[in-house]
Amino acid sequence: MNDDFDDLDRAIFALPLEAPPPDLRASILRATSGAPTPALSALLFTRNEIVGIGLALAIAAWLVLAAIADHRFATTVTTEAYAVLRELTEPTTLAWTTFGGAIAAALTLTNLSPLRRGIRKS
Amino acid sequence: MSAPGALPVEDGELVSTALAGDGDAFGVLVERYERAVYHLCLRTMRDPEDARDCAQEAFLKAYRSLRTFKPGARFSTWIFAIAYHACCDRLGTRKRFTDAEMPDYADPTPGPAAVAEAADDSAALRSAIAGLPEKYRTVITLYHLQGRQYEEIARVLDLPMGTVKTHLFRAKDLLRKALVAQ
Repeated sequence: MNDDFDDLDRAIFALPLEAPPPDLRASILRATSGAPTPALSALLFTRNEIVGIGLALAIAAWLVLAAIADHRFATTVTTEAYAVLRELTEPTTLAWTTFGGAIAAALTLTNLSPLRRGIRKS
Repeated sequence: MSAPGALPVEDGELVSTALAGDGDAFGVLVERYERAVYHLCLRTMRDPEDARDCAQEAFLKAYRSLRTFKPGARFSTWIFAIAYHACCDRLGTRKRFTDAEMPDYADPTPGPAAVAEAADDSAALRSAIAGLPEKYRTVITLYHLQGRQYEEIARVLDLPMGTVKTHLFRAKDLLRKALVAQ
């Protein structure tokens, strides 16, 4: 492709940029770094993280209240948690989990994961 | 490496400093790119009020997403991409540069005011750029802002580099013809 546009290129690069409105910068700063800092700053936590933390705290509070209200609840939860833990630590479960993890890792490393493309485009 | 107490010079370092809670660092980034971002928005939107809103929205989105800025990436490319998408959102479509031409706000033929303004060379060129179809206008604007960094332009527009070069060639060809005709 012939790209013989030297004069035009020079003219393009010599064009001054359009001047923004005088109050644009102040307006941007008021909305960003100059804005009052919220209790949980957006710079510290994303919205999803805040939702996750809130959810975890709510579940924890519910467990504590339920355990205080009914002692059998605590025993039941402990028994069930122990049963789940025992299941998860079964050699067969561990083997399948390892197998699944290895496949996921392999797919990620070979760029087949859709997540990778999403991250690149963000 | 910047002196203790002084703000860093590199954009990437300014992002890190802003993330650490220093609002002045983001202020420096705004100061550095406000004009270019507004220019891109104005060229894309062709309306000063819309351009102002898009530029402000772009910086707001950038500020909220600072944590997603990848170390080593170019801040200019990142903020231009955000600004460009803000313009696309406002124009009602994200599907740019397809076979179908996008709606243009203004009549591409220069009116009497534009002709009068085209009294000198730079005004004539500005008028000719404003008259380009949108896909060429945006590519030329980014070429103006980023120089011959085709890869960066392609990243902003999320287009293959070959397409960017083709658009650029056609844009320059149209510009030259428009300037000769004036």
